[in-house]
Amino acid sequence: MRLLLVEDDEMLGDGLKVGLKQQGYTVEWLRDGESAERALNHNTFDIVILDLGLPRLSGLDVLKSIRKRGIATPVLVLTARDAVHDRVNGLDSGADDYMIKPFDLDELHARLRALHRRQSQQTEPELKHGAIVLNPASHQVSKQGRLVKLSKSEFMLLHYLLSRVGNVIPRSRLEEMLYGWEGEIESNALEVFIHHLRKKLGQKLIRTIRGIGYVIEK
Amino acid sequence: MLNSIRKRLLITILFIIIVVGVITLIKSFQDARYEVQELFDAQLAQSARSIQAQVLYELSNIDPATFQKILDNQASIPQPHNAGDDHNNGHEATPYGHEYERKIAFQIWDQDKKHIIHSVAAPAAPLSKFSLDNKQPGYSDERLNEQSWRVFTLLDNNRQYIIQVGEQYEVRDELTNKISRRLIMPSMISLPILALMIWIGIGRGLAPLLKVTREVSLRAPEYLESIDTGPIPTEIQPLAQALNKLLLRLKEALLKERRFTDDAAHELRTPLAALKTQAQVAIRSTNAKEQNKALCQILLGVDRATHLVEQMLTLARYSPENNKLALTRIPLYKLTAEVLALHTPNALKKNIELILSGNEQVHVKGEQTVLSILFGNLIDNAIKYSSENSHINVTIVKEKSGIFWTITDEGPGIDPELQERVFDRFYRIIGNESSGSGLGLAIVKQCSDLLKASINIRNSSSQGGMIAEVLFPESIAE
Repeated sequence: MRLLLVEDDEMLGDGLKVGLKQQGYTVEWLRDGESAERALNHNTFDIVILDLGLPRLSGLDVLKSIRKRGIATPVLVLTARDAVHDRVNGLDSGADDYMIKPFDLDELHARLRALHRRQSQQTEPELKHGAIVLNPASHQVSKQGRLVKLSKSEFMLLHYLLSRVGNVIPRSRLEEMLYGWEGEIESNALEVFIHHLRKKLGQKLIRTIRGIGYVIEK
Repeated sequence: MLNSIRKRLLITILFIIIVVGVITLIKSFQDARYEVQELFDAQLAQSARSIQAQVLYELSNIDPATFQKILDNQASIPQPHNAGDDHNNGHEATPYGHEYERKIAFQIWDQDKKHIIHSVAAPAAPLSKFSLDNKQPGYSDERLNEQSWRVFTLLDNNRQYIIQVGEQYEVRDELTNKISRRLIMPSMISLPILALMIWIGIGRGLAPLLKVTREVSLRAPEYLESIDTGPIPTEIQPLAQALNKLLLRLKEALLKERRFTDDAAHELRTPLAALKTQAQVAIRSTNAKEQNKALCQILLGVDRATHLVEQMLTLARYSPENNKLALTRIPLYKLTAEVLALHTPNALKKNIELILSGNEQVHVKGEQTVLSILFGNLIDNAIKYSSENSHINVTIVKEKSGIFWTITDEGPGIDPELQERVFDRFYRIIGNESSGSGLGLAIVKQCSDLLKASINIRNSSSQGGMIAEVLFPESIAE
């Protein structure tokens, strides 16, 4: 899962980035409103974590601007302002969730999972496909009730595809999701992960659409 | 009671109407009386002449005693009615005469003041003793038998007779009284009607005031819009405009307060959020290097929070409300040099050169700590926003208006639009590195206010950096 983190405070941004990475997210960290708006207009993210007190362009303005452009990416707002009118204002401007500083990292993770579920129109916390069950909170995958051990990247890849069953996901998006802007992409890394997933969960689970990407069919 | 404009106006207007009315009535009464007087005097004279012509002719034929008898026998004057019933005209006039005949009389005397004849109801005494004694013709006012009389004396020179015709004033007074009553009555009836109409009229006139009141009572901290002055009458316009000005100031003050709480919340909660997040990262990390980095970040965060707390305490300690400075005479140059020395290590880290120049002799009346905080924050600020290998100049100049303490850096300067807001607590200019507390310049402003100095921040036109200028006015400068 690829997250955009927009936070101007160096120390908080750094902590969040590391904390989110620990949970297996790919994190892009931007420090001001203008670059966040630009990034959102040109890239696809699964979730945005947005601070409101941002330099150059306030978080609320970024939010209004991307919603106006029809970008529906779930946005979780982080803010120091806790007055009711601030929260109402934030949610009305297009935020999907709201957390007040200081917050708990575990709660942040839980809220991100909930946002992701809502995004993929999934009501149960676990993702199920045939005999395969994926639990995003515990990072566990089982097939026919037996636990299957997956690496962090394999888990992320499976999670991503399982939350978009029936949709063909382009290779480039999957690579971005796995490595972000900074990570170095090995040319055949994605194929290797897909190969491992097939070996562990069944050859027919993930189908290759040649020249385009991959899909888990309904 | 007189707190009501409506009642006050009503009372004032009615008072004026009554005063003017009374004056008019008195004047009319006097006019009427004068006219009546003239008319009756003319009649009196006319009567005297008629009597002269008629009676004196008769007297040449018959002797006075016989003539008097004839007069007495012919007249039978109706008895007067009750006093006070006098406006009932129907009873006064009878087929035999008028009861008023008693109030009109004539007497004829000879040269020796001997009585010749008189009218029936005439008093025995001369109507005007003075005129008779002095043989003086003309009008005179007399008092006879407790009645006021108007008397006309006519001298008949041929036959040596004196004719006196009199009329009781009561007759004239009744007429003038009747005229005045006619004048007063309409006023008495119209006064209550007038009062009612004035009351209603003033009420209507004051209606816009109620409208403004309603408008104002609708205002609340969340709704401080201006009052529409369009439909408001000119008399209340100044009030409405003053209210609008107040509303605007209130709105600005509330906005500033709101901005302050927002900024403060951001500045206080963000470091806490960072500390908590870093701590949670450290707990969870299985990687020793990552853990160590998070712990170092926590230490940095605590330092930052400490600085913030210190700045807040400084701000609170030197707040204008609870401060009386112990003023001493402070050598400005020496103190500045000391503060600069304290900040030199920070400046050297960025290879910034600090240069002090100017008048070494000047003193100001102030408190050393407050001055040190003031200068320290300005120097700290300049170092923070200066790029590496640049210069910071501090100059002390004495001029007519006072002593100028000026610090100039070669940093990015400041957006002119934001120059007012930089002194707000927790205000941080967008795009700034966030290592400061956002309180530095607020402290500077507070200290300069406390010292009764003034602070001005602007961009340097030549070097592109920022100039902060503290002016110690003449009163505290030496």
